[in-house]
Amino acid sequence: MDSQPESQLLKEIERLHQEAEALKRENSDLRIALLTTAEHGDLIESELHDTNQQLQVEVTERKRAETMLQTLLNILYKERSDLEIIVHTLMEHGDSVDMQWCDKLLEASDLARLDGLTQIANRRSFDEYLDQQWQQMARDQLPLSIVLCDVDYFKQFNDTHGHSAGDVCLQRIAQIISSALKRPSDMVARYGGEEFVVILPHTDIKGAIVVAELIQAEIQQLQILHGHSSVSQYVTVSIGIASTQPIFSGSPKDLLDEADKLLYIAKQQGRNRIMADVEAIY
Amino acid sequence: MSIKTEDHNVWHDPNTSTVFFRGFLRLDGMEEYQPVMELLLSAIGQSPILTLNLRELEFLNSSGISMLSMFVVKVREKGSVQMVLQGSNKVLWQTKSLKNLQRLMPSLKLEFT
Repeated sequence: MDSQPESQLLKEIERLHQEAEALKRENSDLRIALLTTAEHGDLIESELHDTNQQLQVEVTERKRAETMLQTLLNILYKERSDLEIIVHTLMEHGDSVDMQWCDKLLEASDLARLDGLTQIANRRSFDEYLDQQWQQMARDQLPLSIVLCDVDYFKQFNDTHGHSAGDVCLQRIAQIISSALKRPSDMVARYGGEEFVVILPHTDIKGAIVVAELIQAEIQQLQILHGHSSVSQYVTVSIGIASTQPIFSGSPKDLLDEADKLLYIAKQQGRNRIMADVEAIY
Repeated sequence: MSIKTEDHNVWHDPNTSTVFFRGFLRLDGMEEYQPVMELLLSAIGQSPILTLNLRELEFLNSSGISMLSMFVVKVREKGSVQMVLQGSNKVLWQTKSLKNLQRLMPSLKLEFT
């Protein structure tokens, strides 16, 4: 009776013993696994830490490089903007200096061409234009006329009204002669003190007389009070007209001398009149 | 200190901290403008306030305006100098170019008469 329970007990002990061994092994395995996992975790963590630190350094480095680049970029941008402004300044400056020189040049050439008081052509440009038209009319075989006007008793006018009134009188006469000329090729110039000369290209003596009469009438209409003229209460002019068919071998000086001679006759004959050589031959 | 030729005259008056320009400045290239630049740099070395009186400077060529532009940039970079440009309404280039210099240095004061 006793041997059966004993053997059963022994079996049970053996089974428990085996179970305990198995648990021990399992425990040992688990410890190893735990240790391995922990060591692995530590390793991974340490690697992550290192990587993180490296990344941090890299980020800092990149941030610094970026700041440097940004600063450089800002400098370059500022320099570019400065240069753009300078180029713009230079361009505008060049243009305005050009314009300034151009104005000066025009002013200088006007000074050289125009009579300061009356702002019509001066003697110099008259001489040039007369030579030019002489050649042109000789080429085209067309007549050329000269109308020479002199203000009557101008000295007396000046003595009576003063020199500034004399200047105004000359300015008004210059303007009125200028506006009496209709063709672009006609020119009036101040010839001397109170003398004006008109060049009429492509105009014969008859045409020139028409222009001279118009000039005389317009000056009369100005009604500038004289006070010391024996021919009129207003300012008048005497006029000499010469006309010719220019030839290359001739000289415009002869035409001028002729007009001057006729003007002298007009003065001699009592002033306020037009003298023309109506028999001028072309 | 002054630079004087037949055409132009540039001089510094330390009492009024003013550099005066007069006449026609038509020097050939930036190298020839170096003495003018040095005069200007010496003027800002002496005072924190500087006036450039350009009213009687009738002409300034392209090298001259370049030199002036670069001087304005130098003054701006220095940061501590107050600068006034005095110009004339009667001189065409001044009415155009001085305003452009103000774009380089917005604190630059312009006085026109």
